[in-house]
Parts: sequence; structure tokens; C-alpha cells
Amino acid sequence: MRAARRLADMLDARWTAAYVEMPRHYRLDDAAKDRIAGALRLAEQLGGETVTLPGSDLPGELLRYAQTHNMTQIVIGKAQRPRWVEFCRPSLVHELLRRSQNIAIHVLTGETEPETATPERRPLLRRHPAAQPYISSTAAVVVAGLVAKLVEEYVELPNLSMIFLSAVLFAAVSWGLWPSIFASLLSATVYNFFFIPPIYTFTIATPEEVLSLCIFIVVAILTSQLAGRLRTYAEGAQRRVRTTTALFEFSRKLAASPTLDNLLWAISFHVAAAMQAKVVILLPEDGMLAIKGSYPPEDTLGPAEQGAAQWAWDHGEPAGRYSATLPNAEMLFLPLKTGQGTVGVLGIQREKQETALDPGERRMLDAMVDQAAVAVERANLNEEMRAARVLAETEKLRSALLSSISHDLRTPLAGILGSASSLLSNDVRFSDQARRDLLLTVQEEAERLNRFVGNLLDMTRLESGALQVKRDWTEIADLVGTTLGTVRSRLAGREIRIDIEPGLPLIRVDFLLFQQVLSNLLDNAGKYAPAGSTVSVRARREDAEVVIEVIDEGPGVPPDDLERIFDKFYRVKRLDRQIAGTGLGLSICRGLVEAHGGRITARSPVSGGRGAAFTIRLPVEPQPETPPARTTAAADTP
Amino acid sequence: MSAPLARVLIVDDEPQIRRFLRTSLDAHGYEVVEAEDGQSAIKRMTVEKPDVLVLDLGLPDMEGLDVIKRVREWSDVPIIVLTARNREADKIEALDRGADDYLTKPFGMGELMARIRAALRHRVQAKGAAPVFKLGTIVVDLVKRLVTRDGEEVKLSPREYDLLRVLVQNAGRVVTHQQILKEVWGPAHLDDTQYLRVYVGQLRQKLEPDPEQPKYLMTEPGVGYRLREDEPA
Repeated sequence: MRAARRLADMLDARWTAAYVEMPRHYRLDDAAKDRIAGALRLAEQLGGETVTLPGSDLPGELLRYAQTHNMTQIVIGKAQRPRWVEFCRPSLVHELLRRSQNIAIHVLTGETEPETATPERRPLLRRHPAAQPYISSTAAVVVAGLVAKLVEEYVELPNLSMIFLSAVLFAAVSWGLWPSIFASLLSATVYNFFFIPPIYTFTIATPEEVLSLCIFIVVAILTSQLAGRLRTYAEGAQRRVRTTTALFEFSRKLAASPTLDNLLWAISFHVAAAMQAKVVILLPEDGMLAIKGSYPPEDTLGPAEQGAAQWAWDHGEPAGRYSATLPNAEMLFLPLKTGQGTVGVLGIQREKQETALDPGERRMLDAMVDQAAVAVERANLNEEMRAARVLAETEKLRSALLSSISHDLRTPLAGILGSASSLLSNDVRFSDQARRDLLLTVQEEAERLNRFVGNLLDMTRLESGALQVKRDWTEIADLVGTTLGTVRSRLAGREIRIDIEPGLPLIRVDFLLFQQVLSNLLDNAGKYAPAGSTVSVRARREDAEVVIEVIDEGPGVPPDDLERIFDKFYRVKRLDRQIAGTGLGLSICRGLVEAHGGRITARSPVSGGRGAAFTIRLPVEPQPETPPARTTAAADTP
Repeated sequence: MSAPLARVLIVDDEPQIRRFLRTSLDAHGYEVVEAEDGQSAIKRMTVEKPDVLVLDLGLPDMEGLDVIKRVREWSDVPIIVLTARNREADKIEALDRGADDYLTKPFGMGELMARIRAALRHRVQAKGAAPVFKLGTIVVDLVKRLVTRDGEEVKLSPREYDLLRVLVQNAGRVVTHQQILKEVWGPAHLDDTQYLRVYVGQLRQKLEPDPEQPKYLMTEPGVGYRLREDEPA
């Protein structure tokens, strides 16, 4: 096992441990069965696959499996056996070497490293395969004769024939009809020659001798027929077991395929290996059939094949070679049908074109096609489910967004409508102060609505790339002062401190967009800073950057959220109260600042465990030509 | 009932806008005539001969800018345009074509009133402005070329004075960057807005009580500057 694993690692290949379960293994004791199970477990632990092959022809089963699964190497251990046993019954290794075609056999003897035997090297004993049963029969008869000779003195003559009968039976069971007839003739001759008086002569004197000869022959024929039939049944049963195992393996491989592409490849590969054929799988795409999987890889089909595939799809019946419809196509196309309908078409082209599929093979193919159909349908359903889940998530997100936006639009409208309708109602008389309050509400809420709509529009423009940044030389003090003018009313009750370093360079920004950035930051400060606290706006130069900061003394931002607050629609989760607003402001700030080649970050807390600072950094650009120095008498007259 | 202050022609395709404008202007003592598209606006101009035109730029049948052009061919009636947000190019274009001022929707009536008053006053006066301009504690005497604040003279460089003069001559109205640059520095410097930034900053330092939060010399983002003609509310 380990040698196999080493070899597989060296060749970077997969490996499989095969256990050929022969009829005699059913009678193994538990210890032996445990050893076998242990060996298979070890194989799996070492990273190989395991397979159990029923059969009686050990080398044949191994080679058949190897060939259908495109194995290129077999690693086998060789037991040390005396030469004469080798002579009578060739070992597994020799059989393998003899019958393997292009599979390399690696032989491990005892403790030594595997020696690689190439197929050209013939085994020690050269035998003609067809002669072997006869020679073995001869040997059996010889053995019987020797035994008979030994017991001659103690047993009556006619009974000695039983010993030869055993040899004939043995030959019949082991090698079939003709070797057993040969054995019976030989037995009769030996019996006659060595045992029936006069010994050492061939004379058929008594009727008993004729009778015994006839009986030998009849027994030989009957037994070999019986044995033959049994063997046929056994082989048939083994074939069915093989088929079932193959199908079981096939379905396991299909179940293990994670994606549709993997699945289609697995189907193509295994059907191709099992049927010794080329396989293509066609699935519907945009109303047409297209090749989605194939082994060996194939992209196109000829027109006859296309037609057959289409017919198979349309009618849900096989079409193409060997079938009643369009038999001129080179491939046979089978629809992949499940209870729900046809999910695709599988096309198969045998390497040996002339041989049609025999019923056994056809049944196997049908079974594989059915499994493939179910697997493909399952993969399709999985895909649909996944897409549906994504859609559901998107829908959920979209509806959450819509409800948030709807809320932020409706709230100010509620204030406006409520106040206006109050003022219009005839039932009540409002004092001047009350009237003024209501009207102020109308004005403030309308302005808030205006700002929110502006934010939404900015967001849309940023997202769609429709934002046009018109950059022009701007003085930071001008920007700050102008923005403060527009937000002053919303910052009422808070002290505003401005700290702009003198002599700052001009920045090249879009005035309106940057005003929007500062305005959003100041709005935020206004929302979170308690009355009586200070909101500061600072600007300074740091090396090659200009830094603008807006600082408030509100509750601050939790460290985990310092980056996330710049996400669209993100609101810091607060248990006590939900601050109004859909959470667009900061993401717009970031979008606008970055559109100018700058960066914006948040810092919290600022001091005393409270507060938040939002910092904008802009690269300093080479300053433009300074205005010409004052010239005398340059003023125009009005 | 006293005589109306002036006749205002309001042009806007939205009936609600016309309604609130009419109500407010009427309450302020103006006589109001309406038009809802460009063609009828031009017709009403010739028939009614209003004293000031309040024109929405987003008209259905023709560009508001074209209305300005047509009107300016035979009339120098003050024109105030109403524009949407983020349409700076339109604002500058309108001003270049001869509009006197602009307002961004949505706007408050106070702003509109101030601009109508300013526009009317500038047309009423001859091209030569009133010789003395007062704002807060600042006094600008255009004849003597003297600027004082709290009674003390303020020293201005020639450029600074020119800049102030242009603003004073258009007090209450917006003046575009281009217009200022052309008048003060000449047509070759139409792109040198950095000059403006520096000089406006210097003027603010010298004249504003709180230079960092100016209340007289206002920036009109993306368009130009405006010198208020009365103390802000």
C-alpha cells in the first residue's frame, strides 16, 4: 500500500486499492476477513480509493478494472513460492504480466523496493495457453494413477476406477468439457494399462472395462456440462455484480460532484470509460442544445449529429446510430429524462463503431443515463435554489432600503402636512406664536426634505458616474465660511469654533461639491452634538497635504464602526434612540472627497472618551501664478 | 390702495410655483402678470411691459436662455432666473446673456424679494451708481474713492478697490467670476480665478467683522460673488 502511495505521489496520480473477491473468499475465517478489511482501511487512510471486484479470474478482473479506469500502473506483492508450484499454476504476477497490454506492473518482493517489470519481459515459464488445461489434466490423471497404485493391495479392482473418476471430475470442474473428455480417455487408458490384468497391455477384455470406460466418458460429459452451466451462471452473476458495483461507483462519483461542470465531466468520463466510447452531453441553452460536457473534450457536432440530438431532445426517444431514427449519425443520442421531463441529451460513439451495444451493455448505459439525468436535474435545482436565495436577499435589502428612504421622505412631509393642515383648519384659533411655530416647522421640515433629496441625487450621480467635478482654485476659509452660513440654523445652541491656519495654499476643488461634504459633516455634528457643546472646524497643512477637520463633542462612534459609517445607508446601532436620517451623508462625503483625489477618515473618541473627528486630507497641488504685484494707477475709472 | 411697487411678469410652467409667487408678490405690493411658456412670455413682455421679469429656465417649449436672448434684443428689463440645483453652467450662461440675478429652487421668498428689489434699483438708477454706498459700518464713497469702516479709513490696493467697486456697483446682485475678472484684470485673465480668491480673502479680512464667517461679501458657489446691500436678517 505504502509503496503504491509513494509511487502515486511521485507520479502525482490517483491510486486505488483493489480487492478481488473470489468465491473461495466467502469461506475465509474472520481473522482473514479482518486483515483484508484492515488493508482496505489503510488504503483509504493513505489517501487512496478502494474498490471490491467480484470474480474468480483474479488477473482478469484486475486487468479489466485497470483498463476501464485508464490505470497505467499496477503495484502488486509477490509471495515467495517454490518453483514447482509455479510450474503447475502460474502466479498472479505472471498472469498479469502476460495479459497486461500497456499497463506497467510494479512487483514488490518481500522487503525490497518494487522492481518495475515491463510488459516485454516474459515470465520464466513460457507456456502455450491453450495446452495448459490438458497438461494439467494429464497431471491429475497421473496423480490418480499413483494413488491407485498405492492402494492397489487393499482395494478391489473395480473400486480403483473411482480414483480415476475423481480425476475426471476434477478435470471437468476445473477446465471444461474437452479437457475432461481427454482426462476420461486418459484415465481409461491408464486404468486399463496399469491396473486391469493383463497389466501393461491395452486390452479391453471384459464388459466391465468397456462399462467403466463408458461411465468415465458419460461422467466426464455430464459433469463438465454441469460445471460449465454453473460456471456460466456464476459468471453471469459476477457480471451483474460488476455492473451493479460500477453503477454504484458511478452514482457515488456523481453525488460527489460539487458543480454542474464537475458533474458533466464526471458523467462523460465514467460513461466513456465504462462503454469504451466518446461521450458528449448537451444541455439546453437559450433555446438551443449546446455541448456542455464531453470526454474526450469536444466542442462541435456535425449536422447529422445535431439533428439526431435535437430529435432525441424533442421526442424524448433515442436517436442516431443503432436506433430507428437517423441511424446515419455517428453517435447514439439518449435523452436524459426524469420524472419532470427531459433535462438534456447524452451522445455516445463507440471506439469500435461496428459493434452495437449488446443488451447487457445497453442496460448498463440506460441505467447510467438515468442516473445522470437525475444528477443533472438535481444540479439544476440546486442552481435555481441558490439564485432564488440571492434574489431573496437582494429583495430583502432593496425593500429595507426602500422603507428607510420612504420613512425619511415621509417624516418631514408629515410635519409639513400636519402643520399646514392645522393652520388651515377652521376649528381652532392659533395665537401668533403658535402660528409662527407651525410655520417654522413647515419651513424647517421642507428644508430637511430638500437636503435629503439632494443627498439621494448626489448618491445616484456618484454611483452612476455621472458626477462632473469642476475643479477650481478655492480658498479653504471661503469654503468653510460659506458652508457655515448655510448650516448655521441647524447648529443653533452649539458653539462653533473655527481654527484655520493662516497662509494655507489654495485647493483645487469643486466648490459646490466640497460645500456638500462640509455641510454633511456639520449636519452630522449637529445631530449628535448635545446643546451647549462645541463644534470645531479646523484646517492646517501637514507636509504635502491639507487637512480639514470637523470635530464634535457628541457620544462618539464605536471603534468597530469607524470605517463602516462610511458605507451607504449605515447607521450606528444605538439602543437608546434612532437618529433620523437614512445614513447617506458620510458615504457621499467619501465619494466626493475621493473624487477629488483625497481621503476622509473618522476618529473616535477625541477626548475624555467622547466626541468624533472627521478628517479630510487633500494633496497640495502646485500653486497657480500669484496675482501680479500692485501696479500704480492701474485702477479703471468708473 | 397704494400704487403697485412695480409690475412683475412671472414665467413658470408649474402652476403651484406661479400661485405662491403671485400670492406673495401681491402681498408685498407688486402687480403680477403670468405666462406659462416662452412664447407667451415674449408676447406678454411686449403687451404688458413689466418692470421686472422672473423667469424659470426649465420651460417646456423653448430654452429659458433663448427667452433672455430674445428679450435682450429690445429690452433691458431686469431679469431674475429660477434654476434647479447643480446647474451652475446654466446660471453663468444666463447671467452672461444678460440676466441680472438667479435663484436656486427651492428658495425662500425673502431671497426673491431682496433680489427683485436690487434688480429694480439698479435699473432705476442710471449706469452711474449712487455715489455713496453704506453697509453696516462700512461706507464706500465712489466719488472720493474712499472706504471707511467705523469711521476709520481702510487702506486698499488699487486692485482691491476695483474689486470692491465692481461689487458695490452691483450691490445686491450676483457678479460672475468672469465679469469681475474682465472688469478688474482685463479680458486676458478670464481663467485666473485664483486672483479672485486671494483678493476677496484680503477684502474680507479688511472689511468683515468676522472674516471667517462673512456676512457682506458672499460667495455664490460656482458662479461668482455678491455684496449684500443690507444687513442680513
